[in-house]
Amino acid sequence: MLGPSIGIFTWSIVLNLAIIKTGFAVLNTIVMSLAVYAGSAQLASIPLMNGNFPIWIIFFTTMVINSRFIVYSAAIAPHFKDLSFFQRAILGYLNGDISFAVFTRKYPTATTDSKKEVYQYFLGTATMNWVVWQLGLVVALVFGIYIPNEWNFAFAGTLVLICLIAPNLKTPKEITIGIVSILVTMFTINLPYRLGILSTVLAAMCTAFLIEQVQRKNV
Amino acid sequence: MSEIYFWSCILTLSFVTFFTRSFFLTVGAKLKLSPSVRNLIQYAPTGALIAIVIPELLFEKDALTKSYQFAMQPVQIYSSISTIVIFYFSKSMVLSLTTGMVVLTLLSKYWQ
Repeated sequence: MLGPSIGIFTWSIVLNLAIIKTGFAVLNTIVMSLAVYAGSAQLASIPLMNGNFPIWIIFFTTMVINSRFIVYSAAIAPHFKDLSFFQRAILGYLNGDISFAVFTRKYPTATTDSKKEVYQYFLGTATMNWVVWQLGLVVALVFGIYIPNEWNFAFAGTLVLICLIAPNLKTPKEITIGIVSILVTMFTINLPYRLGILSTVLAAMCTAFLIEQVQRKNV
Repeated sequence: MSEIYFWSCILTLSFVTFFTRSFFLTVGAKLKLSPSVRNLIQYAPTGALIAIVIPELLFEKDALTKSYQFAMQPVQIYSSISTIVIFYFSKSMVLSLTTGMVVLTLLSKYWQ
């Protein structure tokens, strides 16, 4: 649990520093961290917010970036179907990348552990992640002023995203999807309202679909 | 950024994040996702993140027209490569981010 916590802590510091360095107000950064609590979605929407993009673009972009969470929720839902709506809603708020990864490592499939134990495990680790994330924000706010702008600290946010992409590009199929995504991004980058992001997402999914069709035929 | 705009954005972001994270736990608790859809959705984040990262590495934003011009950013590219290599071997995000930032700082100071 320490590994993921250190990861979350640094990620939070880096990400919140990056946000502050784009000129985001301190209070706004705090509100965002508490209410939204979604690193990559925050990072992606900051330039849109700073550029005063229409709300529907922000809605759409975060919807696309967060679409993976829908899959996570589908994966963990069977464990918690007997809980109250309120309890399930709390778990949903806390269901981020790291919480999900830590939980599914311990409970990959249905388990014989008592329902209460499984619930407490998820709630415990996910709450700790939340606390560590907000501590990272405090550190970023306190030390942010001592870090000169020339350091280009905002690029650290990009590096975090690269660390999240890299593990998803291992098999030939995934690498093909990655290359197609890069090319589509390059050709759609100047579309209005960052529609290049949607184009790239659709291209990635279509490529996956096509590769699977070809593989099925060859079997 | 006006107050109303900021709070609308926060509301939107919070709603979307909560909606997606809790979807099959709350509103969609009765629904079943078809395996083929679930399978394809898993590639969406990779595409989205690539679309966010590539402009930082391969493009320059024209200050006047606000459009992106193709221009390799060697410092950022080397920094990214060093980050990926260290992450691949160490699996440590802390170590790889530190390496990437050190490479970025040194190259932009002494090379360009």
